[in-house]
Parts: sequence; C-alpha cells; structure tokens
Amino acid sequence: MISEAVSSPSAAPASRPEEGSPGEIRHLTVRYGTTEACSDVSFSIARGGVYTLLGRNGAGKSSLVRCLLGEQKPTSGEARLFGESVWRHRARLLARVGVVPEEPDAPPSMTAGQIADFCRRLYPSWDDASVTRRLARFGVPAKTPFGRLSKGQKGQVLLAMALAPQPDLLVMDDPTLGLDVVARRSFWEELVEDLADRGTTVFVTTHDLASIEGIATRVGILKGGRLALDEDVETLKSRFRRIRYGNRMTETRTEFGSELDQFEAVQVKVRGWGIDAVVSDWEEEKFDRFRRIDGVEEAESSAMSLEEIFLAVAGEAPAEAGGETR
Amino acid sequence: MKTFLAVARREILEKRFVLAAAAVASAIPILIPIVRQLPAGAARETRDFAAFMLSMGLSAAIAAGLGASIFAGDLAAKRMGFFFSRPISSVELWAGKLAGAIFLIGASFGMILGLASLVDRGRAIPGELAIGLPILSASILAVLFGSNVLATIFRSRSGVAVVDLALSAAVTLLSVWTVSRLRAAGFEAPAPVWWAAGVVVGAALVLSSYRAVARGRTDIRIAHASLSAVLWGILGTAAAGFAVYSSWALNAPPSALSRIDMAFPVGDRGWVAVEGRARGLDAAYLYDARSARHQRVRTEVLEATPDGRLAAWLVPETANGPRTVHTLRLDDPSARARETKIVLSRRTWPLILSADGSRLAAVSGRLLAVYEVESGRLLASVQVRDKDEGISGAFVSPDVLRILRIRPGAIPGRARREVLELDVAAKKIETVGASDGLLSAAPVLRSRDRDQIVMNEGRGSRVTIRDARTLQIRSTLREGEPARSSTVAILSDEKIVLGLSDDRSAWLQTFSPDGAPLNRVPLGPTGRIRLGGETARDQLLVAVHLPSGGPGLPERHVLHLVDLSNGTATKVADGLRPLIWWWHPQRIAPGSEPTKLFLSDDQKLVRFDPSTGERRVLFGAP
Repeated sequence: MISEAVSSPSAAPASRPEEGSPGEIRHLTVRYGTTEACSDVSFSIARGGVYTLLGRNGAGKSSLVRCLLGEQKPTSGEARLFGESVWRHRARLLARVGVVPEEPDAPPSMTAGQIADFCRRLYPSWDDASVTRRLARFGVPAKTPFGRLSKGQKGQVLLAMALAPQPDLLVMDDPTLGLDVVARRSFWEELVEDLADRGTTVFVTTHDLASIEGIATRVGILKGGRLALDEDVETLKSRFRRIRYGNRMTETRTEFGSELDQFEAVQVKVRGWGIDAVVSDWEEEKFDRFRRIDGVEEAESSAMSLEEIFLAVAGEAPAEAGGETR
Repeated sequence: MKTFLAVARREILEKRFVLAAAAVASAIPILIPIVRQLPAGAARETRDFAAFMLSMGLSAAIAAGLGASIFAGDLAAKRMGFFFSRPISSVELWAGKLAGAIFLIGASFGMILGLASLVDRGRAIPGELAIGLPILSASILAVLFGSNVLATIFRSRSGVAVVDLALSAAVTLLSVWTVSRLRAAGFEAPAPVWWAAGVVVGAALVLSSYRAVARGRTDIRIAHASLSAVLWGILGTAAAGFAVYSSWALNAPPSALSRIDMAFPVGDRGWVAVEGRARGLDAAYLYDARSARHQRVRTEVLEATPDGRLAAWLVPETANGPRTVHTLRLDDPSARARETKIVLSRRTWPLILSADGSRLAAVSGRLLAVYEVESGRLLASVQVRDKDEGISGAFVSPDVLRILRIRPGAIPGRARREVLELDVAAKKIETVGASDGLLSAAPVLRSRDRDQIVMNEGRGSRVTIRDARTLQIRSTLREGEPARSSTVAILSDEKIVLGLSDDRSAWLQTFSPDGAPLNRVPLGPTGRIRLGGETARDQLLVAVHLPSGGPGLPERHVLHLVDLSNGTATKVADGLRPLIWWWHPQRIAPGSEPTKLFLSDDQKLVRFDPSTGERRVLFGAP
C-alpha cells in the first residue's frame, strides 16, 4: 500500500535551519518500459537560489520534475523536499511548495476566483491580496472559466496560485512554454519581483534561456537523461569561453590540431577564416600561452551566454554554411 | 477533513450541471399525468411509478458518467497534476472526489423522488424502495466504481488492457467452471455466499480505484497498471481460492463428513450410501464399510440391483440440465464408476434396475422409458403418468416391468392403486390390477420369493398381504384404529414383522408368510420403531426412537435384539439406529455386514456387532 501522510496545513513545519535542502535528487532513475528518461541523476537545490534545469526536449526534465513533486515514483533513487522523501510525505511537504506546471492543468470550468477559493483552503497561509493584485495587473477576469483564458493569462493565474501560499520552494516546469514574448517577459518580471521580495528558492526548467540568465544562480544540464553539468552560473560562465583564431602553417609548424590540447574543448568548428572553438576550462594564463603558439593568429576569446553554453554542452547549433564540426 | 471537504465541494461545484439536469428531470413525473389527463388515483400511481423509474435510471446514468470522469477523465486530460501539486493526500483526493460524486447521485435521486413525494403529500416513496434501498445503493455504487475501472482501462490506451481482457476472461471462466462443478455436485449457494462474492467484487473495485489514484497519481498508464494489479490480484486470488476450496471440498473423503443426514445399505456386501455435509458442502458417497473404498455420488436418485451387484445413479451435467446415468460394479473391487450413454431429464424418479443389471427403467415426467444399460439403447417408452401420481416398480423379468401407480382419490385420504405391466419387447403396457384404499406414505413391500406384497395403509389401520399382480387381498394382518407409528418388514424366511406403537408402549407382531399371527414381542415404552437387520435367523435388531424428554433435550434410540422364536427382546445398545430400510429391494442376508451398520444419535456411522458388543465409529461428526 502507498504510505502517504495526510495533509494538515496547520501542522506544516516552519523552515528550520537544520533541515535538508529545499530540493534534492539522489541517484534518480526513471524508466518507461525499456526507455530510460533519467539515469542516475543527483543534484541539490540551495536555499534561496534559483536552480535552472536545462535540457533538450525528451531529456527527462518533466519526469524529474514529477518525481521532485511526488507525482511519480522513480524507478530507483529518491527525490527529497526539505530533507524528507517526497513520495512518502508529499501532501505535508507540498504545503511549502508552489508549483507552476508545464501545461495549465486547472479544471477548465473553474474561474480564477474559484481556483483561488479552492486553493486557499489547502494551505496554512494564503495571500489573497497578492492574487487579486496580480490578476488585476494582467487583466485576468475573475469570473471567466479557466478554459477560456489565453495561454498567457492561464500562466499568470497559475503563477499567482503558486506564489499566494508564500512558498519556501517554487517549482516551475517550463512555465513560459508557448507564451509570446510579451507574456514571457511579464511572467519573469513577476517572478523576479517576488524573489526580490521574499527570497523564495526556485527550481525551474525552461527553454527560455535568455530570460532566465539574469535570475539563475545554478544550472544543471540534462543530456540523454544524464546530468551533464551542475554548476553555479558565475563559475560556469567564467570557465566557458568561445575562442576564435586563424590557423596557419609556418616554416616551423608542420601539423595542425594540437594547439587546443591544453584546453577542454567541447566544440570545435573549422571555418573558412579559421577555427571557432568552445572551451570549458578557460583561464587567462592558458589563453596567453595559446596566443603565442606558432601559427595561431589573431586569437580572441569572448564570454558566452547561457544559451550558447547550453548549445555547446547539450546540443549543436544549427549548422552554418561551410561550417564543420569536429 | 478540511481538505477532504474542499475536494468534495469542488467536485460538486464543477459538476453542478448534474443537479440542474435532475431538477429538469424531476418535472417529468409531474407532467406525465397532466399531459395524459389521468384521473387522481391513476395520476398518483403513474407519478409514483415514473418518479421511481426515472430516479433509478438517472442515478445509474449519473453514476456511470461520473465514474468514468472523476478520475480517468482528469487523468486522461492530464489534470490530476492540479491536485497532486497541492497539499492534498491521495486518500483525501480519492475520498473527496468520490464523496462529491456520491452526493450528486444521491441528490439527483432525492430531487426526483422528493418532488413527486411533495406533490403526493409524502406518499410517493414506495415501501419497496425503503426495503431495497441498501441493495439499490450498492448497485449504484457498483456502477460508479465499475465505470471508473472500465474508463481507466480504456482511456489509458495501454497494452495492459489486453492483459485485463485475458485476466477477466480467465477469472470469469474459472468462476463459472467452479460454480458449475459445485452446482453439479448439488451445491446451491446460500445467501451468505452471494453476499461474500459481492463483498469481494466490491472490495476489488474500491481498493483498485484507490490504488490507481495513490500509485498512479498523474500518470494514467501507471494508474491503469496499479488498478489492474489490485483488481485482478483480489478477483484472481478470490477465484483461485474459490476453485481450490471447491476442489478440496468436492474431493472430500467420507471421513470428512461432519454430519450424516441419511445412510442406507446397498446390497449386503458392506456397501452403504451415505449423505451429509463434508467441508461445508453437501456430499454423498457409496462407501464400502469393509475396504473403505468410496465413490462420490448423488443419492437423490440412486438405485441398486436386488442382489446389490450393480448401483446406478444420476450425475447432472449442469444444475438444471440433463442427468447422465453412471454405474458401478459393487462386486468387483477393481471396478470404476462408468458413465453410460443414458441421458435423462432433471425430473427423473424413480430408477429401477433389473435383477441382472442389464436393464434400467426410469420415469421422467410422464414417460416411463426402459434402456439397455450397456449400450444405452432405448428399448421402450410409454406414458405412465397423467399428473403427479406416485410410481414405484420392479422388473419381474428382464422383459417385464411391473409398475405400481398410486393416484390420490376423489375423497381426501383415499387413493387408487393400479398395477401396470410393461412388455418391453412388445412395447405395450396394460393395467393388470387395481385397488381402492387409504392414502398412505408407507411404501409397499415386495416379497422376494412369493408373488405378493405387503401394503400398510393409513398408519397401520389396514395392513394386508396382496397378490402382487392383481392386488387381491390374500390376508389381513391388522385392521382397526391407526397406530401412533407402524412399520413392516419381510424377513429372509418370508415371515412378516409388524412394528407398532400406541400412546403407551411399542411392540412387534410377527406373522407367517401366509399371514397367520405368530407372537407379540413387547418393546417397552412407546416410541417410533425402526426395524433393523437380522443377525441370524429369527434374531432381529429393532430400534425404538424414544421422544425427547423435553424441549431442547436430545432424542435417543434404544436398540433391542429380538428373538422372534420365543418373543423376547433384549436391549443391546443405546443411541444407535439401523441403516436398513426394509422397502429397499436389496436382499440383506442375516448376519451380513449391513446388519452391523448403524447411525448414532450424534450422526456418526457406527459398526456394532451385537454378538460381541464391539462398537467402532467409521466416520461422522467429530
């Protein structure tokens, strides 16, 4: 039988300094028949941080989110919230968690007001004013059934419901999927405002890398169901660089291809004008040595955006004309 | 509780259109009599009937619709995440949604009946409804949960549905097979068995529904797999357990009999037909008291040849279907029961075997048919019954079957007895004798060596020896007031014994084969007499069934050994009654094994040898 604690909002524990990470994944594997969605994934979400999980479609992000929310039992491994197994204590633990799903899943016949009325009864605290304010700001009609709202409005309703209980952890599964640029921007602005106000811990999966770049404190990248990278954003951006240089034969240079050996090159493309490479262990000193290599000409390095790093790690950029990938 | 109520309330709010539909429907029973312009009495009847039928029909339809949508619908539309991403436990969600659905069903039911009741000033709810309400509620719940199961299976579009189909077929077939076996063995399921089956199915539906929510949560395929595991786990285990139990019960040996209801000897080689209850089921056996060999049979229609060499009985193919005649050679220790090609109807009684066991006559409904046992070939078939006449008979020779037909007379308590002879070869039947007399439950005894019978009419008020063919009276053994009990036996030397009792005492009266009185043997205080076997020539065992000393006190038998040559009776045992029934056609030789077999007052089969006093329980109640 499933053992699951019955929710008791009034008994929801207050955040305690000694309790575990707001969210933690331990050696988690999810399998559907013979297909493996996630394989031995482990990471931890730091309190007050914004953990962004990236990955291409089918990388296993949604399976992982379902496990993190106790909606799905992993094939092996464990998902924990605030130091406890979420599968076993889901109802109690979710009193401290706000959730914005990938697909708006509220009953289509309920209005935003009715949804709020229903959710209010489930949580130990509920900020009615914030819901009213947020919905009013985005012009979401309180008496229109959820099913008839625009996608952007649905997203705002669900964000409002997720933030109203003043959660310790906010979990969002690709919340801006399918939204236009304006809706996406307003969604993230709302989020940033709330984070600034309360310092809520956030776990988010998204394809909207440009928007999340300024918010994320830590990034994980899923590739083929495995966690290819899990690192603080600042560290990540400092070690990932794009290096472009001309590569010439000289009287003393007889072969190409070894000049990048001192770097961990994750992507190397041969262009007409020279070499375009992405390295994951860039350092000033190493780059100085690199520039002095015989035949390496006009070498320059540039910082990379999160999107570029993601493309280099998780996938490939669209092939450019004449481009060649090594 | 707060969360549970919130979920239930939300469910009701979301599906409130159901109540609107019920409100509209509740007007229909009111409108029908108005539209049809019925008079007041008929209008009320029509309104009541329409309200009752509509409330039941609509409730069932709502239950089916809600059952299909509350969980499976939300799962298929990927909307369960709305609940599971919130602090709602699985049990609160499951119970809350169900409570909401049940409220909607109940409210719709009540609205339709309520309005009609209001119009009829509180009379519209029929009394039958109050009685049947628990069953009706259980049925509606079964529709709700059954619909949920089906919807989950079909809406998941999972390959597990094929497994479901296979398992449902397997469980159904196993259950039908088991029930058929039990019914063929004479087991008619009492009400508690049906209740138990209902509880098992109900538990399977409810628990599988909960498991689907608790384990599947937001994934309909996992929900489906979880539901199937619990559903078929319970139903499969129950069906398998039921099958195992029935096999165990049907294979119970005679020693497993916990109660013996009836027992009688078959021939004088030690075979006994015994019927009672073993491992919770009715059970009947042919049992050899000497070797403990046994054969499960049905004793309602069991017959043996007069020499006890061959027994025949009917085995039903299904509970209400035709019966096949099975036989067993009782004189061959290696013989096994054999299924003949003779198939008879369910309403067959009696079976009559010829002396050599080659022919079998059976009366089924109005028809008497004679078969060749070996080939199953029908030799003759004639109509012998017009209504419900009692029929008994015996083969005079393999080609002549003599039938005694008893027709209730026009005057209550009187009967007309007719003797008919069937010429099997010529397929002709004719009435050869007739007699008018008193109607009596006492069977007619046939002499083995003389062509005569002893007829006991009106509880001993007239006991006569008659010509077996013409029914002409040869001698009158007794005529007068009915006795408290009377019973007759024709002994191995053709002497006739008449056991009688009045309000004060019990006694035996012996007669010569021609009917001349010999002596009277007093048996002490009054009681019903059961004549037993002969331990030797002129040595007859007789049990007197003494009445209970008061309410709740057990009845008891006292066994006497009567010396018919000098008219003395000696008490030899307490609590035993002989197995022998004298109206059975088998010859029971003096001192043979059946004369030593008894049923004890505590329902055990006992072997008792009066000459040594040795008493041994063969089997029976523990």
